[in-house]
Amino acid sequence: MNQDEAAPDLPMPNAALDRALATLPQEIAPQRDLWATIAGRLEPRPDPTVSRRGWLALAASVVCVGFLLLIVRLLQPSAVSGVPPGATLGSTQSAVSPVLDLEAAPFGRGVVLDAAYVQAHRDLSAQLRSRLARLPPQTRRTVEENLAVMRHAAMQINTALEQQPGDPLLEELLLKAYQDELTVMSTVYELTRTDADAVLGNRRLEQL
Amino acid sequence: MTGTSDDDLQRARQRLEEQRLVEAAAGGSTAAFEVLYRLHAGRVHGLCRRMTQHRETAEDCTQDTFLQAWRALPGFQNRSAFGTWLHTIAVNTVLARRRRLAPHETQTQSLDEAASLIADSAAHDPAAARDLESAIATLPPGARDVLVLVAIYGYAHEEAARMLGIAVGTSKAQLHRARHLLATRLAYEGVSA
Repeated sequence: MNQDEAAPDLPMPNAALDRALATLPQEIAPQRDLWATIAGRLEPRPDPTVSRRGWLALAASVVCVGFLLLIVRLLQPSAVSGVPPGATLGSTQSAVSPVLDLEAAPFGRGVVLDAAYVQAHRDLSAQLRSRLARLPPQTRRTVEENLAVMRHAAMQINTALEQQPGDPLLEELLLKAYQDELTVMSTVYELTRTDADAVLGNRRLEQL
Repeated sequence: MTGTSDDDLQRARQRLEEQRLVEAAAGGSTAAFEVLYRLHAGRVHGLCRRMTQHRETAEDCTQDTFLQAWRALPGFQNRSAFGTWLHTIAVNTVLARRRRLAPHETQTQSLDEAASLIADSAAHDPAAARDLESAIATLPPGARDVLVLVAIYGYAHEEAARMLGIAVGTSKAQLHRARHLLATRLAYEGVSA
């Protein structure tokens, strides 16, 4: 529909109405000075870019990643005497697709990710790279594609957040993208879990 | 040959000054941020006031807009004008508040609100403006939002649609609807704008 299209049954011509609308003032001063209230609520910027909502979201992610890391470390293949053939770290790393990118996308431009989260994500990604090689090629491709799509989605949402900072829907979408990524990572972990891992894990858990 | 007019130079100076203020505020200067507030509060509040049709809600939204802007300033990239960026935050703030409230709380307020809106503004023709603002106040929120952004604040449909999270076609349809309703209501009341 063309906005300038004149509707024939309009009692007032569009042009006259548009002129009238254009004369309305764009500025309307608040009846009271709002600055005092605003100034009193301005948060100092120890870390200038992380919103409280972002921290909460990241804190939740850190808990998830931390839990996954605990499991992965408990089942570290290098510590197993009976690692299944073809599942050693050295032999699997070379089989992993070089295009796989498990680095976390940023949480909004300029937002500093919690260092613990970044480290946890990096450690988990390193573990998963080796484990991905245990998957059948088709499954591995699917996982890699899913992760790539999620990372791309997170980047797109980040770009949108630059334009619309504080948009609650976009922030929710971004958090969801990260949660989905973690879900896929934990699924990969489950899919690549071997009997030897399970036995070792149980032993380690018993020692705790 | 067209030279640079005094107005152009003045605008360029203002943009440069504003950019410096934005950088200072992004670095943590509340004094710079206060200047930015003084420069933009009227337009932000005007937008909030027309979208909410409620004085106190508009003031709350204006405050929240500037608080959010303060938090988000370090990420501001100067890709859009600072004023447009503020308006985007203001629209998001109003829409988020509208989503949180029950439907009856978001309905248009009484026409007294429109009258007081005119009293707060600097309309050239108060009587005609009051009639027009009263008619705008009776519009459904979706149509009113588009009308305010496009017809009063001069945004393109693409910008308004992005701000409101709707399709460009929807924005155009809502404007058409708003114009039709306004024209009908103003004619019914015998107002010639």
